Amino acid sequence: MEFKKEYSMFWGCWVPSRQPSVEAACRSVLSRFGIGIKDMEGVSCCPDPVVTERLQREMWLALAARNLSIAEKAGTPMATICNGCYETFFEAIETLKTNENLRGKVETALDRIATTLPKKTELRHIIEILGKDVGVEEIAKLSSKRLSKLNVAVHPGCHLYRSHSREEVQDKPEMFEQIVAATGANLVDYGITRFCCGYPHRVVEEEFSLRMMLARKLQRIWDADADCVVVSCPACNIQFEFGQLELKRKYDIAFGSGIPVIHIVELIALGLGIKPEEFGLSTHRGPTQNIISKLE
Amino acid sequence: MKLAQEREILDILRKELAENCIAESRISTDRPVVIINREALLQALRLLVEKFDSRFCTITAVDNGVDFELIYHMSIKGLVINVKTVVPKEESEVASVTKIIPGAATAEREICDLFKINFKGLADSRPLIVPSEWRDVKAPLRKPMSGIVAEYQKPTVETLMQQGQVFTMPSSVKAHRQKLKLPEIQTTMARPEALKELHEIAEAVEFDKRVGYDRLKKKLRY
Repeated sequence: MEFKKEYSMFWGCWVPSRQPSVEAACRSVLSRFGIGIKDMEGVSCCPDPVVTERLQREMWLALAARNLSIAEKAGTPMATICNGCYETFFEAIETLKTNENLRGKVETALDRIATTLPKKTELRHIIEILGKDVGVEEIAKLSSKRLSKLNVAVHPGCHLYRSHSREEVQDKPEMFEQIVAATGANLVDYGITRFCCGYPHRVVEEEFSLRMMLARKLQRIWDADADCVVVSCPACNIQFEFGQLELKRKYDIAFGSGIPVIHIVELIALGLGIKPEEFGLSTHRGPTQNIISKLE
Repeated sequence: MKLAQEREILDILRKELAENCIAESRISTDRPVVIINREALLQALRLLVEKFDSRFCTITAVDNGVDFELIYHMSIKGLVINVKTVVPKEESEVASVTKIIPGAATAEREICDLFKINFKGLADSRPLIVPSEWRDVKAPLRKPMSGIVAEYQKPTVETLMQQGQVFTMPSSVKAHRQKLKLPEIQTTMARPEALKELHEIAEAVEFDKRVGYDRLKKKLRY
């Protein structure tokens, strides 16, 4: 099959192990737009940019380099569907270019597994693929009017702001909003879009993460009458979904029956007319009824 | 001591200890450090004493959280060589060198008092500087078994080392994946040869050692 563009897809840890609906929606959506994906064989965790990178940069960088090399050998750019994986690979590519000392150590480590340093792996976040390769016009053209009653709060997530220069910081988050608008859903302005969901703090200080970060954000989203939150990161997704369950259980804080949370690829799938059951929307741990009831 | 003599001593140590000589470094230009396997400690010190008429200065003990470092300071005509070995905290035992160096008894007893390290073969193991009732109760300089991985980081590190990914896949998700006709995953979770590569990398950059991961038990040592 002839593709408009083809990518080595790095699914990461969260999506395959916790959010199969995101993977299913992504496969359907990209296929619908003529974007090919190859599953990467033998990849490990990216590894995560919070724990592993802080414990030992050599290990973190060597594993990231190994994953990047797998994409390079496949001859296609690497795509991620997770802000955390994007952060790791973005930083790893830059570090390998600029830090001679670490590059030398990683080269020696990779030599043990007969692998060479990645030299020119291109990296794309799913937002860039949708915004640039597919294009918002194309998404708008193929989207039905199904989402016209759905009010959406966008949460880009911190690592989506990662960029090469200050001028580009807003590029991906703005692209994200344009894509959501192209699906026909209504964007709601809740004022603190850039505020962190609190996921990284969760493991260190749960109450701070849930009450000071997540609950504040959810309150503004609730006050803005959003029917759901749309994210571009599975970790943010988990924080919003499980966090709401924990807020209710531990602190008696609830927002109606719960604010649904979906990934951008799931929103697009719905906009394209793909049925919720086809990509397993009901497998979310949070409620999804608010979304389904608003579909035209 | 001339450089040539220092080189001769180190060459002989390397040759005699072979693979038990793990690494070498220097504290300063005139202070070589030879890191050896614990099993070769007596062999190394006997060599220095019998062949080079080395004088024992003292032993330094360092508690690194998961392991102890014991540094034997040996003087040979003005040159001090540090012979360093590592004692896992789970075992906290090393051979006494008193059969070769009787004068080491005081240092060994003091370390036993302060760090609760057992020197196997030490003839007089009575407490030296702490009250006798502290012997099995309190060792003032011994830290709790701990490493650089914080409690909340442990699941991430252990799962990464066990399967190459930081989350396991619950059976409910496996069922959902089947129902949605998603392909089998191709990651290190399902590819033992790929996981082996991850372990090779961990060994090359000494990640296991840094975080205190026990590859055989497949978990952190603390």
